[in-house]
Amino acid sequence: MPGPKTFSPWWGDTSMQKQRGVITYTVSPFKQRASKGIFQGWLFNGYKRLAGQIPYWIVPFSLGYGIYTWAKSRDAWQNSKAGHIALHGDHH
Amino acid sequence: MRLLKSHSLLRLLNSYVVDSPQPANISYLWNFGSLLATCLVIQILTGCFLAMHYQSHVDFAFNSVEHIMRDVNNGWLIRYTHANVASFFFIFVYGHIGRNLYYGSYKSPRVLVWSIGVIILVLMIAIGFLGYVLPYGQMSLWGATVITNLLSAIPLFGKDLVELIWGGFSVSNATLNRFFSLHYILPFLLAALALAHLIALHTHGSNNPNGISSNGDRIAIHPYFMFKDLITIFFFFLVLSIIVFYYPNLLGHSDNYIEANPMSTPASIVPEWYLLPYYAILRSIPNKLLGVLAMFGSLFILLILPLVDVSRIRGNQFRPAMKLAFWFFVVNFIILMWIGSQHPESPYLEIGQVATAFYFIWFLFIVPAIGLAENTLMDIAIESK
Repeated sequence: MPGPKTFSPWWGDTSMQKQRGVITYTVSPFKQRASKGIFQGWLFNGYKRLAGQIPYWIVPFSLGYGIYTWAKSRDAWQNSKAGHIALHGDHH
Repeated sequence: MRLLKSHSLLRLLNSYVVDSPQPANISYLWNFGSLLATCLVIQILTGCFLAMHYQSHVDFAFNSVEHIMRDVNNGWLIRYTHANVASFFFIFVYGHIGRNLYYGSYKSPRVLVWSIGVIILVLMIAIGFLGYVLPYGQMSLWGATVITNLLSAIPLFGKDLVELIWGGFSVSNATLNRFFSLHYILPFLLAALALAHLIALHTHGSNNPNGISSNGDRIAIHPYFMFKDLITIFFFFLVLSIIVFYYPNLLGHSDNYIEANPMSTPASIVPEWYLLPYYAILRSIPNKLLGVLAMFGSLFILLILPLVDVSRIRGNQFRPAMKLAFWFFVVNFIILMWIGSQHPESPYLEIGQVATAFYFIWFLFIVPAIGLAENTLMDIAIESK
């Protein structure tokens, strides 16, 4: 990890020479408008972005839910009087 | 120069949580790391206070937990927090892994971060299992019996190994004692691995939703992401409080409020919810040894993802076919979780077997096939111009 005191380069590496011309810009806190349009953006753009993903998950989740409800009803039928008669010929 | 940047130890702190440059475009899905760290701290603190009142002896363990619940000042709060944060730990870790799958965070150059993460997941599962045995209710005893017996499937020395782990010929006092000891020490190993996870992460920095280098657009972790992380941490505290104060046993099994009885087996032995997918994979395979191998394989197969994902594009943001495949994987994981909670009988058995097959097919065939198809189409498109 580079740091001001302990940064030691590998043999022959000249990169520890002092870097020049690194400039950091910041916007004055009085000029920043960090919350500009967040509600508008969240409501309309957020909705648009989320709605755009629906085609990707609607099929797998519908299929999964279908399997879940089918298995539940199949299990209930298997444990019912009608199911016992249909599967085993008589009701135990 | 400021002490924060020149002191040999504070410099580390500064580099990780103050000046650390983060991609400007990371979404809330990058908040799971701080939530997991919060969970680990809560678990170690509450666990330490629980250990002050807990007795790791088969005759006293169950009653010492009741003593914590009734007699110890705020003991009920400490225990319910410890039990429920364990669940949240897994909710967050599954979210964390899901984010990595979606955005391809496991790809080079973050393979080491991913590999340490997989080891952390396996260790977390072990710690969760050990902790669940400690109250010594019915599900503790029988869960421990089932899971330790898995190792007896190992040829030649399996049975001897299980007896070595038990310290006897069944889950007994010696077993409870060593499980308590391990449950206390392993979280510190987990913390060390979490630090290694961070050290490995900081070599290349976080991935971002676009999957391309963020070197041109970074902002400091403090204050920007510290406060963004705090939003989800406070939201977590809100949800946790509702669970702990109003529904503390929502995620638990009522059988664990019956004292462990080696003479009476419960009607169904069900692990905690976060272990159900692996339990479903175990039970889907009739052969015991192969079932155990598949169960452990389902965890360690995560390690091959950096190899099988051959796509040139990192993440699913711009890969519609892989987005669809991702959601199929998520749904399949939820189905496995549900199947793990059901009796192993038709039609649940067959659904579990198909879901298990899909789980492995996803890693071994679907992920490489989609990557290969995309790369090929890309080559054809470039050559035809």
